[in-house]
Amino acid sequence: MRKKKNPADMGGEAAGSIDTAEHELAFWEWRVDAMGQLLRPIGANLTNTHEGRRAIEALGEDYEKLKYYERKLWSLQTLLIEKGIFSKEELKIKLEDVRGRQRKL
Amino acid sequence: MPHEHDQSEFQKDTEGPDITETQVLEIAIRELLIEKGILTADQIRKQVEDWEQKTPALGSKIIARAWCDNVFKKLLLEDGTKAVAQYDIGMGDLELKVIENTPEVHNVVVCTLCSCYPRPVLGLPPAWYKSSNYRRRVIREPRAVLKEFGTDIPEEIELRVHDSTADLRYLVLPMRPDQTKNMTETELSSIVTRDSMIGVTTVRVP
Repeated sequence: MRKKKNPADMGGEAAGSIDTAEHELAFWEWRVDAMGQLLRPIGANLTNTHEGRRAIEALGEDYEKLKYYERKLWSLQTLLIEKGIFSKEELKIKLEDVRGRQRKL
Repeated sequence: MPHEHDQSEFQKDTEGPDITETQVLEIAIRELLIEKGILTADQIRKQVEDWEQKTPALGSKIIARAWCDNVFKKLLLEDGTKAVAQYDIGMGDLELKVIENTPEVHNVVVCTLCSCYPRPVLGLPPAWYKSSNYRRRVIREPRAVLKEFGTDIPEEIELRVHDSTADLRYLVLPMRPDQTKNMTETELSSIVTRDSMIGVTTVRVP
């Protein structure tokens, strides 16, 4: 049986033109980048590039649907739950809390 | 249609601030990391500020120095990580490999699997570098891709594509243009562009 393709393994495939427009990062994108960097071995040493990529590649079909920093964020979520930094339940409560605060704004 | 306005313009007012589920997730993860004592808000803010300061100008200075100083150029090509440390650029746990363009060989860099890039030297990668289409095509049809960046590499010049890894980052040492004999190192650094250090363009005199 053919092994399921790694969604990141796209080098060499045919594709259309490249959008060369510059893209300024949004604040949340900068912060995702910063958190990712700070958790690496030279920082808090909680995770590394290889684990991050493994979690991103596990996105499967969602990989192409998500933007670059959305994938990074999903990967952070996966790894932090996996390592027991917070539980799924804690994250669920926190997400509701954040949404609630946003509604009040 | 009852009126000509785009309805989405009005939805913003009736549904509260414009925040996506992705942004909600970012806030939630950040707050949890702070509450658990893993990171502080100051650390995150400082990290963003530090990275906003890192621009391709760092790399441009290094390339201009290599054009003017043969001893430095030799070190840069032999041990890029050590050479850039002279500029207080720490590669952390990464290795920097500098590859030289010559009249016979042109080099271009990609990370087909993700977005590996010499960030400490060039700052964060441009969006196109991370795009699926660049990653897909540049290893198969590099000449066509470079043409889209306005770069014509004749068939007689060898075109080498370097696929970066998580641990090894490439930086291109572009060729110094002929008409720059009288330029100072500082003037030279101003003509070295980010894209020329990735290899999708060459350095031109403005």
